[in-house]
Amino acid sequence: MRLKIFSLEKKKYLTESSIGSHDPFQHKSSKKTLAVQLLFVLLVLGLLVFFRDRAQFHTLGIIFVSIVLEALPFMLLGTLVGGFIEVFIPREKITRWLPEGRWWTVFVGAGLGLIFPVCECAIVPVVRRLLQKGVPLSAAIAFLLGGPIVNPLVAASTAVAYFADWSVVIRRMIFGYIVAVAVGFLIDLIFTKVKAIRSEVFSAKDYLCDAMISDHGKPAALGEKIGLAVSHAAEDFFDIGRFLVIGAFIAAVLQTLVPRQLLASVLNTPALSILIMMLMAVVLNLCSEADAFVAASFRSSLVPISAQLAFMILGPMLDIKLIIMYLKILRVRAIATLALLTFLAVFLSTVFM
Amino acid sequence: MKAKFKRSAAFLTACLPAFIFITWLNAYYWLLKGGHYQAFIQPKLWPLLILAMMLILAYTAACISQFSLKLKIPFQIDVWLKAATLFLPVLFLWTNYGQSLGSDAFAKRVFNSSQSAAIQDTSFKVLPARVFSENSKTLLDLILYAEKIHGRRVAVEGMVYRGAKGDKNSFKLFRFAVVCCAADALPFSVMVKTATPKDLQNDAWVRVEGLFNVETINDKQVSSITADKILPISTPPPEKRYMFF
Repeated sequence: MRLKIFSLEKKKYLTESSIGSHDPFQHKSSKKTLAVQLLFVLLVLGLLVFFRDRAQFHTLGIIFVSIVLEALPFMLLGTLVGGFIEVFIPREKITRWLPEGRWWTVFVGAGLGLIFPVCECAIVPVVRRLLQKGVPLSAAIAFLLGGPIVNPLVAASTAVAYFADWSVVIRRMIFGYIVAVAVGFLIDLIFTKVKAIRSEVFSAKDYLCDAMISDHGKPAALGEKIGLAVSHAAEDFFDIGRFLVIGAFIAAVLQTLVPRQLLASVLNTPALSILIMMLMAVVLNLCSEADAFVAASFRSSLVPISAQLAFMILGPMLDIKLIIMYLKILRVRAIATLALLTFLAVFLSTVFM
Repeated sequence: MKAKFKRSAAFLTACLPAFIFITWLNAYYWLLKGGHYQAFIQPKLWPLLILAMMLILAYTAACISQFSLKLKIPFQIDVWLKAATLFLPVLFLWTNYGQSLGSDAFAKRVFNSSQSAAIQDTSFKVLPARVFSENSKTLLDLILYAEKIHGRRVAVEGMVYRGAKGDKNSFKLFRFAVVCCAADALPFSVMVKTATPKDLQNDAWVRVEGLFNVETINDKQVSSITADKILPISTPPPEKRYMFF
């Protein structure tokens, strides 16, 4: 049944079946997710009503808003890139570039950030679209982890923060790449795509490119395609944006409540300092383009360079905001495995530096 | 009656995405218009806000263009929760504007008592866009150029941190320096040695005048001002409270 019901401006393009592919109203959450979300909204509103005059609440509010304001432009950009991938790159092309079952795709995936320099807030919607287009699991995971590190913008910010100490920049890029490849491989070994990826990701099937046909059976014009790409982006943002908000709030709560002095006493012990810096990376939720400046500030506290690198490598791959955002594409068991493997890989790669 | 209610609920549900985008557009316009965004993020990041505003504008247009399609879809609690979650940061933005990180955040973020002086050895001194001026010195200048300023008379402004004990003869003068946003704000402080008035509370803004010193205590460099004048000043507007790299 291919009844044409959707009109964009004057022409009609999409079949009824294609609407599901880009309508946020079709992205239904499970009852459990709904309950958690309702609880979150009520909790936050409760805090706002009852604690708004407290100093800690002001700190919490400022950090929360700051994280969201800083991350939102990147997330919007990520959803836009995702929208354009959806409309302009047919599934066949993606599967030709990154075919399923080929070992080398993981190496390409981990280095895709060099072409798409997106930070960690933007990467989740892009990866979701790529998965829908048939990108192999290992390559998608490698891009998810490596993309926010192995990219020119992050290299530049690290170089500025470390006063053009290229050994730090190169080590960050190389170890970021290695960890992304290793975890991509391992996740692919442990899980099948169906077991790792949420079914909702695939339930929105990609009919759009087939449907990009006008009334006269001709391909849609460029302007019309752009309009559809933006529609996809808007709906992706409306669907995924909440995960950024929830993650940012949890990060803000932790930043408000956990005193950093607690961690300072063990920062001078090499292995322990790596662990502590990794925990801090998870808790602080800094943007991959800003975290080098914070990492550089730890030089004064005699934190070893290996621990600073662990902070800069793990942060863009795994922090609270990201874990919450991963829930949109990965199953809980896959996220737990991914988190464990990433944590171990970063620790092992930096502890012997 | 039931059908009418259902129609209204469906209509409101259909409006929600556009409503959220318009709310965010309004928030970004407000942030950019008066430079209010500097109360949360680095001034140099204004192009990012413009970009976000343009994208949200495009997304709003896309939502409105699909409005007739969405009217066919019944009321869904899921859509309302998504909208509520996306609305929360805007709510916090408007209720928290006017506040800033203070002594509570300072106590949580400071690593050790010598951070203020020791930081001069870090890469922060190489961060760009801070030109040392003989005439005007901020707290950050005292930290970054401590050796140059050592032994000179200074006048700086900042917030008071008296700690839990409330020492009678000293307090810390602190401010936060932001790289990208308030989430990465780093506390910078100097010890102010003076007979501290009892009514000088945490978070009060003061101007301190006195002699700047860098001394070594227990192998750690500690910077301090031996103050002869402490003047309470009015709290700066939220956009001016942080120092920026």
